[in-house]
Amino acid sequence: MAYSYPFSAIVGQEEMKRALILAAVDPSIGGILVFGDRGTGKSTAVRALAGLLPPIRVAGDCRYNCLPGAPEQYCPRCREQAGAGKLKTRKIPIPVVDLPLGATEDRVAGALDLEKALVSGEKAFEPGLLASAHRGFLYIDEVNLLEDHLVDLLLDVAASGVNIIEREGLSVRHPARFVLVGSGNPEEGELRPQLLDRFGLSVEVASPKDVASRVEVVKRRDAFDRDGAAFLEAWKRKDAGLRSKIARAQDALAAVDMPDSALELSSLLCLRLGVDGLRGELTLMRAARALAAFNGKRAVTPEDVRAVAVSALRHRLRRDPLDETGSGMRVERALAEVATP
Amino acid sequence: MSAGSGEPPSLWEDAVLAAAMIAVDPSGLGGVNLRARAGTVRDRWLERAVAFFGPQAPVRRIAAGISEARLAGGLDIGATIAAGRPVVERGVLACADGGVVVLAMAERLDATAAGLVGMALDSGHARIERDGVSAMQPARFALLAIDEGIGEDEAMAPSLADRLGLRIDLNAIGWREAEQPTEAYEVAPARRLLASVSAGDDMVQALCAAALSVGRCSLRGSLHLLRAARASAALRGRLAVTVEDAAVALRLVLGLRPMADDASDEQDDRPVPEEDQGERAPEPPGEDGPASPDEIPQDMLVQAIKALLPRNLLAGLESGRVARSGRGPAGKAGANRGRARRGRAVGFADRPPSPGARPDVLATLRQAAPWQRIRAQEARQAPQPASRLRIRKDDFRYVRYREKTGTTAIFAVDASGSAALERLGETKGAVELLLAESYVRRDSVALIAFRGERAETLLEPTRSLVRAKRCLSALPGGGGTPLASGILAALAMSSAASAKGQTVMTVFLTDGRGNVALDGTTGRERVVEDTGRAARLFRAAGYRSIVIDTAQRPQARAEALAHDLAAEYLPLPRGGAKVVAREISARMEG
Repeated sequence: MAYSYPFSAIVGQEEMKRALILAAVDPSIGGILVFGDRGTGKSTAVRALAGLLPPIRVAGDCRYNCLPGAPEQYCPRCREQAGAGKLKTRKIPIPVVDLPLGATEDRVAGALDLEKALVSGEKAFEPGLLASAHRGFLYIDEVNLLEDHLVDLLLDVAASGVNIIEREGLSVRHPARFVLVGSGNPEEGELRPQLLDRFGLSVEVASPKDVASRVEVVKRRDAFDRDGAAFLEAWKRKDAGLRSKIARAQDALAAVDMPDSALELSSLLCLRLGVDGLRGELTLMRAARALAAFNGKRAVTPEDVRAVAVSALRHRLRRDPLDETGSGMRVERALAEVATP
Repeated sequence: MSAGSGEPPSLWEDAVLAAAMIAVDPSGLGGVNLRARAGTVRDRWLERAVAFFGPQAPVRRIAAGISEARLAGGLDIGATIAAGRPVVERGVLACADGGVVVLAMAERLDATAAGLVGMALDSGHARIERDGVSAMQPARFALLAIDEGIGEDEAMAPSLADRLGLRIDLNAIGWREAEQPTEAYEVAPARRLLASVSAGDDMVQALCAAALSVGRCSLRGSLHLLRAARASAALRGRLAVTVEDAAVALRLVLGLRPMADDASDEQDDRPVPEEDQGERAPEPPGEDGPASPDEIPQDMLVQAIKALLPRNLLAGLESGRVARSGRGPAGKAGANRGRARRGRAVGFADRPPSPGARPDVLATLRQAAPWQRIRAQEARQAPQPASRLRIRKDDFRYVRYREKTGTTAIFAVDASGSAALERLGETKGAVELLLAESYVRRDSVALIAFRGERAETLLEPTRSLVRAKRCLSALPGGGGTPLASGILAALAMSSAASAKGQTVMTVFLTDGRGNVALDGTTGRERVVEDTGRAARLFRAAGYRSIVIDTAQRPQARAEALAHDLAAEYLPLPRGGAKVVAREISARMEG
């Protein structure tokens, strides 16, 4: 029996965990980029999301994860069933879809249903991974190794929220809104700069450098490998607590106030760092709001903005020739400067 | 006799012990990183290793050139047509479920294939999302990856190396030694015992501390240590990990753990005695985040330059981000990068990747196959010439290739008197930084200097940072500026490297003031004419280049040279580094 490692049992890596939680609270923050050392639990954290996050309601056995009660977005089949009043609803764990390396475009976007074509000569559409990931997460490990044309496709769909297939005599469009999570190791190649700022948050992970955390990681992992069921049981309550906190934040999000002080700080930061465009500021505000909601606050404070600034902005800085690794530092520096006007 | 007294007998014994350990805990340890040349010793070891898994365990040998489809599985065309429904062919990884995968020439496995294998090692499954089929097949196997790389230039993909728990080196073992009997291990009882073997907290702590002290050990390494110690204990029939087991783990997991590479130049591959394995190699550049330039001498000059140069100047090479100024012809370099006509097949495209590309018969048939029934029905409705196979234009598929091109960065350095007066020192510093950057990305670098009468190739393309640095620091300054000769030398080197499938970029560091013609004379007209001709030739060849202006103040002449070469022009920034840098970045990103 394969268990997935519980989210709350991941040692350290607070920035990464928080970014994932914020995206779960407010998916409109956009994708998350996790770059850093190998073996730091990047994949583990993402895959743990399915077990952590509140389940979602979907229409019956819909393959596009249609949201019940939103008829304008129904797929044709759900529309038909809803018309006949036969649309059922069920709860599923939030989809966390893994995009394996070597996946081909037909399976990502969807293509002709082979089985039906061969067996009954029927021309039907077989939804791909983008459909399965709708309303959930799409995870790409080693995103920097993914074929360029696939990355382009993914970013297009992630930005528009719609997957359009116009080929092979098929013409299909279906909603595909998902949080794109890409992880990778910079040693194996960098991400094209124009892809970088398409991700909402960017976090860096590093192997812990102290013995105590390492020991804790090794012990927990070992306990998990030896008796997954018991380990899960032991962490169930922590995960459940986190889950309800996220669920509350999702509900409260819309009501969280964004006072002028926080807005000003965001603008000032972006200005100081020379971040172009609106996307950075928007993400910064959304992330700050999600954080405030997560912490049960009614209004965003400048502290919330500060807390998420590094993740939201570090990948949007113009390449500083001095050093690239220090882009997080630059945000910190700007934060300090803005603090003392 | 080869079993001389100086050779610790434990080398072969350790190798056999590693084979037994991987059989005891294949999922925990992942596999063995085996450094071994072809030969009797390796064959013996593989025999022993496979035997430990028992006669029922499947064994699959794969070569590094294996396609992704063979590795992870895909649509079985023959069976699909015969059965009239999609039949998924199991990939090699799935076929090896419960057994062993032997990967020969692991250092040649490309990153994507390595990623697939790594994913299977992590999850115990091979996942397929290709050719219209989606499947998840169990694939729990131990990977015996044979690294036949020689020297520092060749090493297996770090993502894979990180997942292999044990590492042994057979190269130093004589064949006679490999014929010696070793301790007989009982794997089956050890496997049963494994789950009950415990390790005390202080033991875990000690192992983690050891991993950290080596400094280049990922978190997986720490985990592997614990598992290796446990496997060792299980093989000895012990219920608790002892110091002896910990020692085994330290030897077989940590001692020779390879990371991406290391900057040690004359690294010898003989296994070192176990006591000093810990401090064997300096930390590789990679583990501490990208390109910590720690290995660069802490020379003040270099430090000063570091603050001035765009760090990712050369990154443009890879991503093709450095825009050409002027309209260079669609060059050879471009043709090599995006639309390779040879190399490794990476997939299929529905339009020809290059004019005159031939469609791939198999892929086209595969594309057309599922439609046959539908088209037959359509054909019946609208009378069409009868044909058995209905293939349409849309079906044609073309192989897309990805050439495994390395990158060669050629530095053409102006070491003339005028440059020496001005900023040869800084230029050297700059080149050194760029060299380090190239090195981190495993590019080859070459060095051409032009001074006096003609250009001189100081260094053919190499990956040895140390050699490059040595050449550079020994470079004297002074004399005339044979710019034309420098350009031609760079051109010749570019063509040679390009012919080998390399992506080439030349970085000219000069003030653009050429004053020596090709024949060594200094007649002004002659100089201008020669330089112009050389630049035109260079431009016509279409190789990418950057001109970094090393003059005190940006010179119109260097800029004109950049234009003639169809090169990007960058003044070597001085005071207002930030301003210039921003400009550079903007150009690189724009």
